[in-house]
Amino acid sequence: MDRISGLSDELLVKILSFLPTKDAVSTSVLSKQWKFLWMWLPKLEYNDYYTTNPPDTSDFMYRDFIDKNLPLHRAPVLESLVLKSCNPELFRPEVIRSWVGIAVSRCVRELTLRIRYNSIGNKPVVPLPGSLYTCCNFLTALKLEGESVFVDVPQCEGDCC
Amino acid sequence: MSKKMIVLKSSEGVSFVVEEAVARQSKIISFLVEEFPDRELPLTNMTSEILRKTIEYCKKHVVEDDGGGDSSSSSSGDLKEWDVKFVAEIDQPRLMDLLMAANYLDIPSLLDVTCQKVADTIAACNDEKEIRATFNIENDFTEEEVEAIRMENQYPI
Repeated sequence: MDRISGLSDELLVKILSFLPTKDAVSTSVLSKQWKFLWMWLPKLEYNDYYTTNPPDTSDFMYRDFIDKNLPLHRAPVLESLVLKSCNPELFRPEVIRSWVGIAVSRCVRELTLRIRYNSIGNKPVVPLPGSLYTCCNFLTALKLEGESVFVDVPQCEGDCC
Repeated sequence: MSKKMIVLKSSEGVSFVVEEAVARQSKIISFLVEEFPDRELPLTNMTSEILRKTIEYCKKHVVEDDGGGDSSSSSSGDLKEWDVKFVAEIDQPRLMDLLMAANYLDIPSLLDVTCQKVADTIAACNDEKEIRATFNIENDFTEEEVEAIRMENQYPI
């Protein structure tokens, strides 16, 4: 057996965690052993920087890929999720909202949103799901960059946090 | 004051006398030293070569606590540079052995450095064929299966 495949899946995932998410995902075609390893990554980063506006078919497939896999992600705790968007046609506000909601349900510890929509005129605003404020017991860092995220912290009654 | 020494024995039966502070960077050894003081510790799954490399790493990274002796206490920048050189000089099979040794002995910083090096090697490859060739990974997919995964895991170029 080759040396690298002799490593445990846990060690292979650790190696993948040192790669950008894109490169880690691309290892899924190496062999059957590698196919789902990236789905255990503790940190994920997605951006739509290289998509076209308006998006083409492959851009939508990329979004569908995130849509499909984020709820299925296997890491028991999501240490970090980074979402970066400049394309309001692709990573639409409600799409990002839904991904954040999934991340909250996956015990996300660090959440980073960098939204700089490049649309002309009124820029759409990304609302964050209520669960982020009320159910996110594991969150240690929330980083918001750009100008299009709407922070609407609900009023706290009693010790809801 | 003389430093406390311990003896680590490789799979070939070669003994290495190491300062306890150096060896204690391994959480496993740290535990074993407390449980079995004054005992030689056999590391039957580590060759002398890999054990020597591991000790070299631990010597460099030992934190000087009493200001005495010849333990190194390099600045973190120097250490990083030293780490990069350290793994750059190791060929791939030995890098894998060292990675497994770091995992077995529970030396988190050495595990990070070795995993980073493997990740860098993967990242430097142009495509999956090159990764397979570099690491000798057998492709057990059909062409159609590879294409299907590629379509599913669509990324913008």
